[in-house]
Amino acid sequence: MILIAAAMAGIGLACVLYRRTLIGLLVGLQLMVLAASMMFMLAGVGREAARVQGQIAGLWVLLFGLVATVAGCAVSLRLFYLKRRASLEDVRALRQ
Amino acid sequence: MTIFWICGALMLLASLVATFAGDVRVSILALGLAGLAAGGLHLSLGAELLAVIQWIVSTLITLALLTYSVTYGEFGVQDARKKSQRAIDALFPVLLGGTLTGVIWLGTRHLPIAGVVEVGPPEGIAKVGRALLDGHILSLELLAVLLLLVIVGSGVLSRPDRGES
Repeated sequence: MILIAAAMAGIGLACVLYRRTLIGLLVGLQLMVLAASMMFMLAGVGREAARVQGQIAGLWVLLFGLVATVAGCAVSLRLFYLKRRASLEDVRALRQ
Repeated sequence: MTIFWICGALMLLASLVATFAGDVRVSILALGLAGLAAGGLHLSLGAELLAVIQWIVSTLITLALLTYSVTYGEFGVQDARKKSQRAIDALFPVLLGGTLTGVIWLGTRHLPIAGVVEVGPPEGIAKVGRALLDGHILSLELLAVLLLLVIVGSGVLSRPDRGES
């Protein structure tokens, strides 16, 4: 069971490294968040006393992933205003 | 447990498509499918609240990413790299992803869920909600403030500058 979540995290990391656009980066990030959330939930399932705690930890990870996605969308929108495109190479433009 | 394995296989397949699809549109839709399968997986393990929230969040993120990809003109655009170049570019990420998978697998082998276990009856949503309010009220409030901050901050960050059309 854990192997599914582990493989998902690996695929998410590969997506982050392979994709060249901000949207692709957000897709990879979301895959890793899915894996982390599932990992917490699965870690709690095996122990009766930790089942609720595992779910709550998974919930936090999921909502923090949502926060990261919203922030990423805002950054990419800002990039689009500045450069009329949203590629990873242009992220440094935001520092100027 | 059959539903668990079906959802798990579907989720992994959708994740692979989301990673290596040449079309951004297909990639985002595959991400949505992976999220829905993850919700089904949570549901099969008795985590009803997490499953429902997972479905809602995945649907919203898929819609948002589709909207943004249309805005940026990436919707339906194919990857410009040649197939051979894409294969070379994929080599290092696949290697690193495989390493991460191996490390997580080795680190979590001792957990009781590492193999197939009998899952007990589902936890009631009321029980999870009570645990949230009784033991995690501060973190719940912090999360709410963080969500508010990121919404306001995103609005400020993504607004046009003065004089910009």
